[in-house]
Amino acid sequence: MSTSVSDNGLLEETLTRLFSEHSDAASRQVAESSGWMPGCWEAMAESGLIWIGVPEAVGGLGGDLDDVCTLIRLAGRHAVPLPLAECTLIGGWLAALAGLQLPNGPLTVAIPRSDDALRIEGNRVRGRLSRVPWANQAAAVVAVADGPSGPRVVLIDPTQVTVAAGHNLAGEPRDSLHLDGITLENGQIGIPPSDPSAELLLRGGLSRTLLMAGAMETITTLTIDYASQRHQFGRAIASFQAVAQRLVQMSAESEMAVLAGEVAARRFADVGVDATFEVAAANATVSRAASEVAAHAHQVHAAIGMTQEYPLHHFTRRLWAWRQEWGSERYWSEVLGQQVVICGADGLWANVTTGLEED
Amino acid sequence: MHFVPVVLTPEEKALQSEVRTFLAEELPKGSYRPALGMNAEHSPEFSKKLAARGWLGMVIPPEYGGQGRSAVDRFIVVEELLAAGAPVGAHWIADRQTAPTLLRFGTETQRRRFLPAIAAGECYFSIGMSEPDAGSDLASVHTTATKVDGGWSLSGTKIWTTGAHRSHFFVALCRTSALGVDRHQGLSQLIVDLSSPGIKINPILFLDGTHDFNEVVLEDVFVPDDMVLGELGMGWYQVTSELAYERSGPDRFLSTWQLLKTYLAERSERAIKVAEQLGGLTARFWTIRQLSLSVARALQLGQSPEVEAAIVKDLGTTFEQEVVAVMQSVMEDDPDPGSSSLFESLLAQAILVSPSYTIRGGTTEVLRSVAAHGLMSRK
Repeated sequence: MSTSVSDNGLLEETLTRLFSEHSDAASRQVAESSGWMPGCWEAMAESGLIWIGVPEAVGGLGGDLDDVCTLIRLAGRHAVPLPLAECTLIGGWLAALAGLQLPNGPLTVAIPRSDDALRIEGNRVRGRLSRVPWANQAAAVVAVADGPSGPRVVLIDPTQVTVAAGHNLAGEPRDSLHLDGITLENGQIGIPPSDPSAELLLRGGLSRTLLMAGAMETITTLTIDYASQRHQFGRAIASFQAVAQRLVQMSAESEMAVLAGEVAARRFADVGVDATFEVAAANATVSRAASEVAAHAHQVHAAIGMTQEYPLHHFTRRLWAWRQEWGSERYWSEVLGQQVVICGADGLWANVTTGLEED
Repeated sequence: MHFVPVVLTPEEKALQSEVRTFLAEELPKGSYRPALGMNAEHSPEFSKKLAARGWLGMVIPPEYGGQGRSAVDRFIVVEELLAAGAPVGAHWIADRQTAPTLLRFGTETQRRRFLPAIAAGECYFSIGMSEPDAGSDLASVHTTATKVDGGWSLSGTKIWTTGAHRSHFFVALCRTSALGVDRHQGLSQLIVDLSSPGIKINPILFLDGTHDFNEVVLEDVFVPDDMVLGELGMGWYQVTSELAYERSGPDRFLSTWQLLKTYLAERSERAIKVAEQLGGLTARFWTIRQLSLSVARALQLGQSPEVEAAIVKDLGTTFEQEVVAVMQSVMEDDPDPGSSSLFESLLAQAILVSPSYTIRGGTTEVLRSVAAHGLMSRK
C-alpha cells in the first residue's frame, strides 16, 4: 500500500543541497538587484535538472510529474529567484506539447491575461504579453497565439521584440513584451494536438500552489525558531499564549497548504485536466493560507521581520506575489464554485470525496 | 507535524460505494430530516441496521464481536453517515469513544461484557467528564468515589452529559483518592449503569429548546469493583488519550455539510451568482477532509498524531461555523426555524447551535494550547 507521495528522496536531497548552496539569503538579495541568480542557474543547467519532467525528444531530461512537483515545492522553500516552474511544469510542457525544441538557455512562459492578445497569421505574430517572468533574461518566451486555423504555440526570442521591464512584489522580473508583427521561423511555431489553454492554466495554478506551499514551510520554521529564541519579559515569546496560538494557527494553515498541494499534484498527475476540481480547491486553499501565514509570521517577528537584513521578506513578498499569479484565490474559488453548481446537490459529495486512488 | 496524503485502496473505495448504496435505500431523499452531523436523531432501529452490516464497532476485533477493520474504514463509513445526516445519535458515543477506550484500557471482563453489545448497536454510552466547576480543567473534578464493600460509592454532579437520558451507561471521571500534591493523580474512570439507584438525570435544554444535555446527579451510587475502567488512579492519563480519539474525525468538519447541499438543491438557479463563495467553502472542505483522512491513516499505522488531531479539530470546527456564516450571507434574509424549506430551517438550527462546535470536545483555545506544547516539544 502506498501512503507517501514523494518517494523521490534522492532528488529532494540533491535539490536541497543545490539550493542551500546557491540560493542563500545573500545571493537572493544580489539577484534582486541584478534580476538573475547565475550560480544557481548554471548548477541547474549543468546537472540537466532545469529540464526535469520535459520529454527527452525536445531536449528535456525526462522524469515524471512527481519529480517536477518536488522541484517546484523546493524552489518555493528556498525562494529561488529563477523561472524553474516556467522551464518545466508550464513552459517546458507547452513547448514539448507542440514539438518545439527547448532553447539553449532559460525558457519562460506568458501568463494568459484577459487584456493581452497574441495573434498569428502565417509566420507573423503581433500582440502583447504582460508581466512575463524573467522575459529579459530568457532565451525564449513560449506562448499560445490565436490563428485563423486554431491556436499555435510560439517560441519568441525576446531580443527581437520590445521589452519593458517590470517587477513583482518580491523584486523578480515581470517584463512586458510588445510584438509588432515579428516574423518567426519554422522551428518557432508548433501545432498543439488540441487547445492547450485549459491545461496551461491548471499547470500555472498548480505551480503557484506548490511554490507557495514550499515558501510557507520555510516561513513557519523561521517563525517558530524565532519565537523560541526571542526572549521578552524574561521568557521566550513562544511561551505566551497569545503568541503560541498564532504559531499554531500559522502551522495549521501551512500544513494545510502543503497537503493540498501534494494531493492536487498527485491527482493532476493521475488524470490531467480532469483534476480541475482538485487544483482549483488546492489553489484557493493555499492562496488564503498564504495571506494568513504571512500575516502571522510578520506579527510574531515584529520589527526585525520588516527589515531587508532579515530573510523573512524573501518568502512573504513572494507569497503576496504568487497568490495573485496564474489566478487569485477569488479566481480559483469561482472556477471551483462553477464546478460545484454543475455537480449540484446530488453530485457534489462524490466529487469532494474522490481523493487519491490506487491505479 | 506532517500530514501524509492518503491513497485509498480499491477495497476502501468499494466500501465507500457500498455505504452509499445502503444509505440510498435506507434513507431515501425526503423520507427524513437530515441531522447536522453527530447531533443526530436517536434511532436504535437504525443503529441495529448499521450493526447488521458490520458498520458499528468497526475497529473492535472479532473476538469481542467487532469487525477488526481499520481507522480509515471507519472514517469512510462515518463520513458517509454524517454527510447524509443519518440518525446516528443512539450509538454515536459508544462507537466513537467508549469502544476504543475499553479496547485500550478496559479489563477483559469489561471488554467481553460491553464490546459485543456496542458492536451490535444495543448498548449506548454517555461521557461523564464535565462538572459545574470542571470544564476544560478536568483535573479539578469534585465527584468522588469512596471505597465500600465490593465496590465504590459515587457522589457528585456531572453536567453537559449528552444523551444521558437515553444511554445505558456513562463513564464517570472521579476522584478515588484524596487530592494530593499532583492533582492529576488519584483520578479514575468508573463505568456507571445509569439506571442505578441514587442517580437523577435532569434535562438541560439547549438554547433552541432541544434536549440533548443533562445534569446527572449521583448520590451514593454503588459501582461494583469490576466497573473501574482500566486501572485505578490512571483516570487522567486515560481521559486525555480518550480525548485524542474523539478529536479529529469527520464529525469535526461535516456538521454543516447539509447547508451547502440543501442550498444547491433548493436554490440551484441562484447558486451560480454566489459561485465564488460556494467554491471557497468547498476548497476548504476538500482540504480539511484530506487532513482528517490523513490522521485516520496515521492511527491505522499505529502512530500517535495528537498534535495533528488537535489541529484538524480546530480547523474543522472553525470551518463548520464559517459555512454557517457564508450560507447566511448568501441567503440575504433571516431564516425561519419552522420554514418548509429544509435549507432555511437547517440554517436556522445551525445558526443557533453552531457556537457549540468550537466548544465540545475541547475548546479551540485549549486545543491550540495542546497543539502549541506539541509543536514546541517536537522542535
